[in-house]
Amino acid sequence: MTQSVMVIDDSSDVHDLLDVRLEPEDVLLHHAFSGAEGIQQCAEVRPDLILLDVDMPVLGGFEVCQSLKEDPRTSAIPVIFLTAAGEVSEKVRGFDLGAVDYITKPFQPAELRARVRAALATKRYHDLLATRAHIDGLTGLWNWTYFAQRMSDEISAVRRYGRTVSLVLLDIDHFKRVNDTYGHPFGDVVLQRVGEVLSTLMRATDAPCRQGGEEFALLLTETDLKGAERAAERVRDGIRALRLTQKGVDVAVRASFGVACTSSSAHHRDATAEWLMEQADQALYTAKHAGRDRIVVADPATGVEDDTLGLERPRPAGG
Amino acid sequence: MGKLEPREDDAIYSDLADDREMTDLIDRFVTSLRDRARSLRATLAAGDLESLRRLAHRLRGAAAGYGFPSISAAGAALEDELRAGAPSERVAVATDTVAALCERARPGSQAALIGADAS
Repeated sequence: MTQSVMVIDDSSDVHDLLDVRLEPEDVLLHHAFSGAEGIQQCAEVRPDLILLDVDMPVLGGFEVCQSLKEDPRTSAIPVIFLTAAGEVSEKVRGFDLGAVDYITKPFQPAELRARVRAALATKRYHDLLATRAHIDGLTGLWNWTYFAQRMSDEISAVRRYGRTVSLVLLDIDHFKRVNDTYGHPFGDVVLQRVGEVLSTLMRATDAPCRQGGEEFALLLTETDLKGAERAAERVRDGIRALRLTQKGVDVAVRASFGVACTSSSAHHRDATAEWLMEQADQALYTAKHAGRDRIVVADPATGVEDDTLGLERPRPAGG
Repeated sequence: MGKLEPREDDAIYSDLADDREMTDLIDRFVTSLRDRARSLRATLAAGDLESLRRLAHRLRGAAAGYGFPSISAAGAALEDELRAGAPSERVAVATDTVAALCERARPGSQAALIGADAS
């Protein structure tokens, strides 16, 4: 994938030069002509590398760097300072502010390219590791760490812009029995196949995650309760269609689902990640206790959390 | 070169003129230098020393980047005079020096000109 580089410099001459000098590299250049414009554009574009002029009027390079490092949207983006030759104190100050490197003006083309390439290679590895840290090793789905963060981000959008987000919790039925009967390696295969069903059925903007054990969660953006129920039905059908055999026996895989949506809250500003989780969890609990292999939708009108079952509510573990 | 320009002994060429990546850019920069020379003189005449300092500062950086170290050095000298609050006659001399150098810049390279002469 082509990486992008933001150039922040008040001199259009420098922009022209960098255009030409970086042309042989496979990078997409963005241009900002003042510190303020640079800060704003970096937050929007999220480039892979920032080339930042030290010496700019109004908002200088050091102030810009400080501001970029304080903003969570831009703090991880590497910064290379463009500085006058010989200014040792400037170079040191740049490193102190979190820059990864500096390039002196006038640019030596080979050196410029080498430094840009090195910074971009490091960024690529950084991105790869960051992604790896968010992936469940067994299924390749997102892990809970990522999911919790993502859910919190999406819920802020719900509260701020009145968006609609749905959550589906899914628990494989009688998984403990599967493990006990056919062994853990086979249990892992079941988890992987269910993971495949989830990743193939989800849209790019949805976040399927393995919560742990045999529990999965799906975060569906811009999806109302009806849409989430349909998504759960597709997943249920996909899981039912799995053909797994062990020791010459066909093993049927079934799952229970709890579905909840932020639009069910009294007001979108009341929606919290905990509330949504609680709603979906209650629905899943109801599904388990109503005989498993089914989808229960949290209905705030009647309330799935009614106590008709009269049970102290343990987590539906092991199913 | 189609038509030979009269030989200009005082012409200044970019150190990077033989760098093919830079050919077009240097041509454009040389054209811009004539405008910059005009701006320098006009800004001095208007007595806007802060704008003059900014012009000198930018020229110092840009000229170095485009392979015109003598123009860069003259720009730096003017910037230094202005920073130090030098008397107006010295600022005028320094401005004239930079502007004159800018006007002497030419596209292409010394080598190309000599080659054209020989043919």
